[in-house]
Amino acid sequence: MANKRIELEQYKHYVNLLDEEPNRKVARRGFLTCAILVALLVLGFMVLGFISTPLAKNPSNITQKPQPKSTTPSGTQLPSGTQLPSGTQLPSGTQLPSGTQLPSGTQLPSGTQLPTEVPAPTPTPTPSPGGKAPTGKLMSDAGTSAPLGAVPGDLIAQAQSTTPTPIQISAPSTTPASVTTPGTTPKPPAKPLSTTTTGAGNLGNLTNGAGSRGLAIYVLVLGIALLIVIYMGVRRVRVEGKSK
Amino acid sequence: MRANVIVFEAVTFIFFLIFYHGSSRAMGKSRNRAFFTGALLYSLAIETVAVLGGVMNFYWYAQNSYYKHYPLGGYIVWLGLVPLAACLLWYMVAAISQMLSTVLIPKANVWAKSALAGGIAVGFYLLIEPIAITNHWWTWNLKSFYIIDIPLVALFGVFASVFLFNAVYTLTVLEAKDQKNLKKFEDRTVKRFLKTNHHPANLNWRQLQWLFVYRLLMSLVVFAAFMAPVIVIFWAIANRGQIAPNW
Repeated sequence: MANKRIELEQYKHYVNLLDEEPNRKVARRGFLTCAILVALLVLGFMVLGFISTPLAKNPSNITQKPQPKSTTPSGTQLPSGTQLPSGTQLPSGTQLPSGTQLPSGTQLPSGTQLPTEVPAPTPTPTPSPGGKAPTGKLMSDAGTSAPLGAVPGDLIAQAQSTTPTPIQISAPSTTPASVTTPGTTPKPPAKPLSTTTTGAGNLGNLTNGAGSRGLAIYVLVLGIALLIVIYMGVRRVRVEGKSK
Repeated sequence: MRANVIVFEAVTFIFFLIFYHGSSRAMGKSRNRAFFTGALLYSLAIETVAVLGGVMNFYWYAQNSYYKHYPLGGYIVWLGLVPLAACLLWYMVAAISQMLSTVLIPKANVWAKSALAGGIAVGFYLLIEPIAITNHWWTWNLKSFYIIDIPLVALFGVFASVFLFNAVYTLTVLEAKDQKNLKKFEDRTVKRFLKTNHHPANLNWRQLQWLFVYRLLMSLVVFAAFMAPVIVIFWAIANRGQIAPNW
């Protein structure tokens, strides 16, 4: 009786498995469907690769920070003489008229149209620790008229501010790590790794290589290799189908 | 037309529907259902940990001005921190790799077949990754060693995950076997839970599915153990720094 029960249990299991084991012809067709579909997927990725080439040419595209959601719509033309605050990020496609002044920290996305008269953002001078940033006497190279009292060689800011306000910078506190003992050379602090790659690590270099067809060639070669592997599988299945 | 995330997601969903139908016929309905469920959960677990650990993210489109142009910003269907499309892509790659390895080397042992499946999957991801990262479908944040902006950790991860998943699937569902070195452990744990001491080949389908889930969990532990030193090694020889989480 016990043997009969075990036999029935096993029978039940085998019935399950028979349900699971598909007909070889059905299985072959299923495999062919999947293989053809994946081949199409590979071809689709090859096309997407070609489409993506202009984007991939920019070496910093991959780690490029997304543009913030700005209220200025893309493609806006700014009125003439607009003064932008420091740190403004312009949306893509913004047209800048002549006379627009760009302060330091303004980020220009690709596609921004710059007239020839627009001066480039001026770099902010780095103040010495504990000192005051000399914002009063700054002169950019693009300046045309020096303010009263300025002698040649003085730096005069492009900004129109008439009353320069000194920026208070607190002196850094001396920490034990900065104290050096005589006779030992201070170890320079380790530079943090850049978030953009160089050389073979950068996709932009591959894309711009081989006459700007690097990515297309890479995608083409890899796609063809994958298609060959898929074809080998399909061929095996078809040979097996014919032999039976 | 731009290869943006909406194109990727729509294409993946359409291809998945047809692929699932085909693989149901190729593997058998229940086996394919088990493979699909297992693959979805397996890839979801790995990618969720990757997002939480700051290895990668899928949020580029949700952050930028695309939000204004595309009503839903980035991906439409999310499973927590990971878009469904990313998991479906992994499922399709793992399934076709499994089928191709079985067809190409039918008489080889499980490990050789799984290794071939892992290799084929790496080939697929070598094609997918440059396009994905260029179009910001996902972004790698990890400090690591990169080649054409793909971290080598990712390729090792694809190989290991597909290799382990296929090995577990073959050893549990296709050729139900006990592993000599794991038998004692499984007898004390999962088989006690299933209230059976049968050989896997003699388990019914429901029990076999639980054994599959259990073995997948164990393989995730093996995956983590394999990936930890790989991440450390490539961290040490990194050529790109970490992108901050609030990027």
